Amino acid sequence: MADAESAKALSGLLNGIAQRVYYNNTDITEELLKSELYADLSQEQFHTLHEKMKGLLKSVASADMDQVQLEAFLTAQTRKQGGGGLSTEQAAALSKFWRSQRPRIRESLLGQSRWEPCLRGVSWRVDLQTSTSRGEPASSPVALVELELGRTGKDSEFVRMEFDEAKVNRVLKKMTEIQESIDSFVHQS
Amino acid sequence: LNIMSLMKKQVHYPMLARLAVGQTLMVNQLVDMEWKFGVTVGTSELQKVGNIFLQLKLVIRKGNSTENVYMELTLPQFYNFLHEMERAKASIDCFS
Repeated sequence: MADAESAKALSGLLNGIAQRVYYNNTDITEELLKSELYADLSQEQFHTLHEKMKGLLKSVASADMDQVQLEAFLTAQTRKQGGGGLSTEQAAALSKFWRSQRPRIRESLLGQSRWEPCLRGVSWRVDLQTSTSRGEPASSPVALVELELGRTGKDSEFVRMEFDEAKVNRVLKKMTEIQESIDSFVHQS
Repeated sequence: LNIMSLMKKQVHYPMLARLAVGQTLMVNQLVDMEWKFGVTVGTSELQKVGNIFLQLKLVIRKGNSTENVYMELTLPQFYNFLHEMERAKASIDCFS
């Protein structure tokens, strides 16, 4: 294989591994990667390559290596004797891949440690109730708020709440307390 | 993010419209809001982390019972929530 083609195949392989391991794309199987990128290799040869690159990527990702750490790590890998060593071409492909994908993979890993749903969106409307069956004061504004909550890979759930003016003020007061706590913490560190 | 809010409003407008028409329909009341925040220092997937997390628990009354709703927000998500609540308040202030 020419160098450029070889580098491209390695890049494709790393992308495919990341798609499955970090981006929840279960369509990208090992078989698919082999047939698309390394049709010439035997099953065993490809599996060895696949596992090696996957293992290295996982090590780099879980340590969230910066440039210095990455270079040291890859250099050590290329110096390894026997079958476990890394070629300089493979090291270069991994380095290039990590530099572009690091933030996205890190975010994916952080997402895996969040077990409650996150807040995907907030919608609201304010209505002016002119009369109600309970005889409450006319022209009182009411806010309807809808929170969109979601976990990675799952559909959103919607939580709806109603606030009168006093309640909105109470909630805002609480959120301001939270903001002040966050600010004082951030400025300390 | 604005575009996303707009799309969501379009999808859920029928729901909100139904709620507004039926005055006997119960829309949930927020009874309490608890929170905690801190820093995640490490996880099983990521050895060193330095991320701020914010967890909220909303206690919502639906009819005769209450329901606890838990969520974990990133800082941008929290600031977006705060921003929207401030906008809602500004809208309410026009009529009070």
